[in-house]
Amino acid sequence: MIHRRTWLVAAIGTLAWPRRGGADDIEDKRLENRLELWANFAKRTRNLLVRLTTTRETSLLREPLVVTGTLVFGPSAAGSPRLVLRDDGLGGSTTILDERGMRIVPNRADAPATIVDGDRVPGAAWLGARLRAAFAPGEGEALVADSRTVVPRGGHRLDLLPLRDSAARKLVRSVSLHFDAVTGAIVEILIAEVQGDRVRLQLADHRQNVPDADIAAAMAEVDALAAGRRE
Amino acid sequence: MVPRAPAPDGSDRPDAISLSRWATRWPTAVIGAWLVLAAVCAALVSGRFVTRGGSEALLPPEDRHLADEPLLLLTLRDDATPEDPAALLAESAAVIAERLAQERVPIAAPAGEAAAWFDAHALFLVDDAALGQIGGRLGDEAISDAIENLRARMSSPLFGVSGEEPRRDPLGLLGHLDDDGGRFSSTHGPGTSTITAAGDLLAADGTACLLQLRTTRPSDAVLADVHAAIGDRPVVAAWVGPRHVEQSARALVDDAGLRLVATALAAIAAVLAAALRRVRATLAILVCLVTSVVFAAIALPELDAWGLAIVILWLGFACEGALHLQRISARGWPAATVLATAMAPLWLSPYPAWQHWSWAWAVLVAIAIVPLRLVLPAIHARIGGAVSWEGRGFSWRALPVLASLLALVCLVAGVVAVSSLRYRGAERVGLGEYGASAAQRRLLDDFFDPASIVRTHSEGADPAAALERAALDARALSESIPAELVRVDSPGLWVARAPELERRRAALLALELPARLEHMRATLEAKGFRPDAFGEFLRGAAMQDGAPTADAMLSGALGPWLRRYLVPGKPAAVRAFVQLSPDADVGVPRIRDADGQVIALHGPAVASRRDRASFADWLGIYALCQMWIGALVVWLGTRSLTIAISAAFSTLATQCAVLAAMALLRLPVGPAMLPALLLVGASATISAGRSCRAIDLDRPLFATGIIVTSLCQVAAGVALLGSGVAMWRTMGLVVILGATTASGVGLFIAPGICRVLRRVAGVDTPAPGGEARG
Repeated sequence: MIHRRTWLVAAIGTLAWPRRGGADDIEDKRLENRLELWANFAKRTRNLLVRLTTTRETSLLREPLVVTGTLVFGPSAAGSPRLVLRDDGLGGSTTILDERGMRIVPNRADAPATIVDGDRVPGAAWLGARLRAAFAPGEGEALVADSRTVVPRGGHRLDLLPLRDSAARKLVRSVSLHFDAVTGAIVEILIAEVQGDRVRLQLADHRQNVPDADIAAAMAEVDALAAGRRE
Repeated sequence: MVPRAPAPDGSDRPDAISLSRWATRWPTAVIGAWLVLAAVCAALVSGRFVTRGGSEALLPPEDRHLADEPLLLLTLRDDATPEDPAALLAESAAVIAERLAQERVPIAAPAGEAAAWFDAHALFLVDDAALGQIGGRLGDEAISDAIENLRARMSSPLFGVSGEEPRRDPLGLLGHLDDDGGRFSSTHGPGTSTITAAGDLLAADGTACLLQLRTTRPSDAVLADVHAAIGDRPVVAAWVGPRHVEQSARALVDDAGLRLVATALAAIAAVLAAALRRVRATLAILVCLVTSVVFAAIALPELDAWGLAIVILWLGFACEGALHLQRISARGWPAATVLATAMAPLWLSPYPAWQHWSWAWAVLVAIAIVPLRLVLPAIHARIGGAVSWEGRGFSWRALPVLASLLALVCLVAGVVAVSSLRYRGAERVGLGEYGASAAQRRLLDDFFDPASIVRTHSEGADPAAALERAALDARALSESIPAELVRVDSPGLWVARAPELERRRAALLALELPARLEHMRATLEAKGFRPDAFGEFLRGAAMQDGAPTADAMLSGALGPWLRRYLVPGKPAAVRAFVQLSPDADVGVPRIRDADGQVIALHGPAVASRRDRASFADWLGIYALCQMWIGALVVWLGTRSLTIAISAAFSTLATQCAVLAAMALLRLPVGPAMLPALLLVGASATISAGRSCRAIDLDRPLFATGIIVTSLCQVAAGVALLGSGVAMWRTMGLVVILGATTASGVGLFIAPGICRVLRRVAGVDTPAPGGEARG
């Protein structure tokens, strides 16, 4: 009996092995396809101007917070890449991610800025790196760095999760990127926070590689907003 | 250099008590009695002898770590790949806490309870300046602006990871308290760690969890319970911190003890065989040494890592008793006495282990001298093999100019070197691979270094009074952050004293908090927020949970955590744990309490810094004591003041030369090195006394004997050096350097200095065959 059982287990194992390897292969292939789709758009990015609608679902508010604005990616005055998410109107804020770090600057002139310290908050460092990498040109290595990836079967989506031993998991559950099926441009980013909040960034009207003057003007406006702001 | 007859050994005087004469007269009886005694001791020793680690043996008892509060580190097994490592470790910590309910104490205040306490009482706990700032933020316009800004920031995708806690502090009133000198460390663990909901520490990457226990049970029994609680979870539990170091040191003694003794004996045998060229003589000495070890084990039945090193050195220095080729006095007792009293000055030291060895060393020397001076001659008388020294001696003469020059060089080098020597305190022992477990490295990298934590006590008639006193002391301690202290971990920071409470209540009344909070609630409502979501803040700000008194804390949810700080007894006492700044050059902080008294700090780091401040002075005192004792003994043996002074001067020159060599080799100096320095000083006293005496009496000098004596000491040093253990290696190297120097100083410097002193004193030559009066 024992002899037969041993053979049975071995046979099941033999059957299971290629299936497991096959599942991994399929997952890798899907990831490769998603990154290829994303890179199709991203690798051509020198700068980017996108209309942005931000929706935060949180228990602090009676209704979800919905704000429109502009996403700008391009070189800052210093020449290094910068990502800016600027809300329309004085009731919103401007989020700046560049070589100086990460800042949230309310659009009201007298309001203090918030410095987001990635060294002190690993979750912020991880999320900031993913957001910057999502719009920077590349083949995808930076996008999926320090992350686990999940590629759902339907749709054109890529989920990024902090590594299991990463301290970022204390704050961020996942970042989901939705791509345009044709161009590969990111059309939506969904950030799931551990405390329950969900932030949806909907992107539309992508203007890739606009004249440098337009980007410079947008960046100058951001610099003027952040200049002299108390923290 | 003409070979001469050996100096008389005094045994020819029939009225004198002479061990060697007894040995040659009744060799069979002596050997028989010795064998019986050795057999009895060997039978007894196995049941009595115990080993210890001794990792804190050089620290005063009040400055040692708390022995009953071990740290336990939980890590993942190498083959474990859990979905959520932090959750697995937290679950394991929970089952351990459940099983060891009476022994496990939270190392930090549980995160939830701590946050709740601060939210409820923050306005009582902040200082006056901070309260003024808070008052400024509670105006109508300031509240409206703060809430509008909060809403503006919430549209940022980074808002949730910015570190803000809007539910606890929507107006940012308390946000700046973290910058207030780190006084409120309720949510941050030491280093990069975080505090779990249960009050344990979790590494930043979530793959290690640190637990604190308070137990008097044996380590193995506690660990067995821990393993039973963990069950088949892929989690590894290991002691870390002081208990791990102590266990490692003990394992080192158990593993390396016999090997080290055997290595030392082998090295000594090699030296003796090469020098004596007699198999029987070498074996006889070795047998005497081995039986001395057995007798020593009976006399001193406890051995730790420091004691093992001393025993190894003893084997090398004890050979002196077998090779008394040149005697300082006719009867040969001064050399043994100088050696036996070598460590006597350490009786004055603050190091418990060295205080013990200050007299235990004399016992060891006595144990070795008897077999070597009684049994060894008896063996030779019975089986032969005695070494003849006829013709080996030569006449030696003093070299005053060379001696003065060399002495000057040694002294100057030593004085210059003292200021450049690196101090190494007794709070850290170098155990090599034994002390460097992966868990211990994680403790140091991810959590904190226990050696940097010191403690202080605040006393009171009862726990509540002690806690109120701790509140005063903790605030005084916090004033020294960050200049002298890194962190103050005291429950006193969490309570306010009765007089302060009344004053603060009056100040809060002036803020009209109920009206301000009502306005805030209305503003939140108007801006689309749900006021109930900020309930924690609104309830705390309204002070609905009462004041943060000592009684409230003792009876509240933080009570179990306070077990870590409360010291049972009368009067009651509350501990505070203080992390000193890492700069060891800074002395012990002198922080005064509310009454102007200096707050007493205790811990390894304090002991080390205190010792560092006065080590150079005390090193001089120990050296002077040794010089004085050595000179007295030599004078009593020779009745020659010049020889006594020369011997003392040789001691000093040797120790100066060794210190200079240590500076050149970048070896650290500290309490661990004291026995080695004193032993080589004694070696120099003996060799100087011998050579001066030989020249004084115009008798042949057995330089070979002096050198072989030193080589036996070097052999012991080589055994320690070859052990590969840092704490022994440095000691061995110092002995090698010192023993070599001692023989050179004895031969080349001491006779010349003696001659110079005689010229200065107007006595050119000693009385022929008699005592020279200096």
